[in-house]
Amino acid sequence: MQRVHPLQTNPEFSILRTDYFHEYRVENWHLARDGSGSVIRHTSPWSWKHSIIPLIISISWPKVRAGSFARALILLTTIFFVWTRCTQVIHESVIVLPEHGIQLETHKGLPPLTLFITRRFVPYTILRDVVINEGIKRWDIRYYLVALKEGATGSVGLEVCFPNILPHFPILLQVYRDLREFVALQMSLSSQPP
Amino acid sequence: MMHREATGYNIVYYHRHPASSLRFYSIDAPNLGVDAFNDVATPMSRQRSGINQDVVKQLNVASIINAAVLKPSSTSSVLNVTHSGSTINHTTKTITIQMSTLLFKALSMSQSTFSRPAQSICNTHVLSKFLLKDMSLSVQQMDVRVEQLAILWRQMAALRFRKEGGRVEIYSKEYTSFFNTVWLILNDITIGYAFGNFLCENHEVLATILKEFVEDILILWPQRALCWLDSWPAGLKLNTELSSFYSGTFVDLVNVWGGVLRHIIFPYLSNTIYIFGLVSSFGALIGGMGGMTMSIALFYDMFVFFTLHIYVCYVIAVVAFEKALWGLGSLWRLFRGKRFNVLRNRTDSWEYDTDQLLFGTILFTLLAFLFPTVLAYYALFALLRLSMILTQASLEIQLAFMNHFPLFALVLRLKDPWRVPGGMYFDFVEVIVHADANEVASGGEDESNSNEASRRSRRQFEYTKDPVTTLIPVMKNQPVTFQRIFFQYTRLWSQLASHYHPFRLLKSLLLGRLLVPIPGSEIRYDKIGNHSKES
Repeated sequence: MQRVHPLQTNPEFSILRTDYFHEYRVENWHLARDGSGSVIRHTSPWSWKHSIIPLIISISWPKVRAGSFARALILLTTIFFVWTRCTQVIHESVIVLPEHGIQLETHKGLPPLTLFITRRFVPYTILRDVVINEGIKRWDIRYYLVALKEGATGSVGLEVCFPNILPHFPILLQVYRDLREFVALQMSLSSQPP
Repeated sequence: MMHREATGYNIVYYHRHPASSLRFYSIDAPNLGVDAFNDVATPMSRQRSGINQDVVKQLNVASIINAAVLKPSSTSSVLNVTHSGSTINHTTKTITIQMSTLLFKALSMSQSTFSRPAQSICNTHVLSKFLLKDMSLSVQQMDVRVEQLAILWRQMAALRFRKEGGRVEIYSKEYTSFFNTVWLILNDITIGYAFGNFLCENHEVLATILKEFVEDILILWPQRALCWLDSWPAGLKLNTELSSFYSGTFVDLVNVWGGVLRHIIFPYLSNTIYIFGLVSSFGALIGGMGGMTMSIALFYDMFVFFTLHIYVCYVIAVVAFEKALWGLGSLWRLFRGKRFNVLRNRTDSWEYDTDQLLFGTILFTLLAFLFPTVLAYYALFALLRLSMILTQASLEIQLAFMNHFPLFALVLRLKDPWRVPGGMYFDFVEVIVHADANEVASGGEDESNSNEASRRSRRQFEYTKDPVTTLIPVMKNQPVTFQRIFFQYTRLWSQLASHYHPFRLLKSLLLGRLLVPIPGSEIRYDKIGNHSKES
């Protein structure tokens, strides 16, 4: 039970294999793409620059008239600031439970603490296929890995894996290969007579 | 790569919810609509082993099976200890049963007395073409309320006799939907009582204010505006004869309606407001039709009635404008040598004769010079009509909010999220295990309480080797997202937004199409339920 980093170019990707599940985790940082090897982080823990904001708020709060619009504005700004700081994506993962299904998780919070976890579980009986597709994101074209599931009354629903981080292709290819093996194994198991 | 034998098995841990907690598992988000008690058949998923509908159904009945299996082995000492407690439980149970029987009888009695005549009133045809409930919002509100009560009665009959081995998910959905409606109606009646008292106490003052308002804004202001348009508004020279014809007609229309209002309606306005207050407060006693929703509907109808003259003037102005616009467009095509092909719905080139061209030119000149006058009067009434529509829209939206707001599901989502499941997920729990064991051997888990039990599930074994901590998956309920609770609302909102979209309104204004408020049949209670049945 040990976490391995199989890709050298993408060390933010790690695989954890246990007896009960396999976790493919992508963390929210990556190496610089120009080959210099520097780490680009997309999350920021609490630093001294963030402490200026409570200072500003605590100075301006008593100066403004009580119950005025400015106070409401300051309150809203505080709430917005706290919310953006505390819902940064820390890591996302695809967890495969063999014989049960796939679970997609997103861990958000104030790095390094995890505050909110969002999970979506797709059982094998609903999972139709796993696909890598291209999509347009703002002015960019990204690959994304999507699990197709059967919605109600025969329609198809999509569950995007790693929806916030949208890692690059080598990571997706690795996850895709492993997922295909499990899906194929599941299909072969179920086609055997009981 | 993992090698699993085809005959291997693994254990999935889950929380066994007791039947009385009304918690249950579900693969997908449930349908919280009106007809939740009809078991909508899910499509046959692929025949794969794993977690499918059957497994989820078995998980939901697990605690009943557990109780059935363990019951014969319960000892008599346990019975003796709980004997004193059980008598108190027994009395409260009989009291609740009696109260529910009483409520049920009252509901069925009011149902049989009021529902049939009310429904027949609502569905009468006026002029053999329009239904009465399409013309008046109050009648529609009455219809909605009667339908709600009918659904309540049906659900109550089903909910009262809960079998011991019944399906928890169906019961829970019925329960949620039933109590949601009951809570909404009670809220409605309570707020309606307060509002009705306010109306009854201040009916004189309110009538005076309303009379002044109607006089000033609905009668005098349009007349002044029309006179202003007649006399070179902002320096624009409108066609004198046409303008005087228009303004004379409209001023007379407004006068007629003003006279009708002044002499026939206004003497009784304070009494009318008093009656509105009474209906709002005590209408609930007559078959449950009353409350804030009914008063909103009554004020809506009053507003429509008072602004009837503006509606008539608007219809006249819009017909004239649309015809003028269409004539101008057709004659403009004539200038360009083109013709509108009705068969193919497109513009084609066409050779006109000289006398056709000449006649067309004369008509075009006529229309072009008369057009600004038509436009000016149309603009006035179109703006008035737009503000009327927006007021009506806001009242209707308020009514829709009060009629079906998913209050119960929302509060339940905050209080006990496992009772509104929208799927499930696996949480990973640390367990100490034998280093040489391939599976975790744990004792019987009756985690009938909260999910803290999973944290307490550390088992101690006699370990000869160093214990190894491993993570095992435990299945838990995933509460439904807030968007899913409001899915009826998003449907309603999208219908309202598409009907009252500013671009659509602007286009209708420019093209001279008639502006109508959203037809009531689109935002009905059961229509939304039907939509949810389809989805």
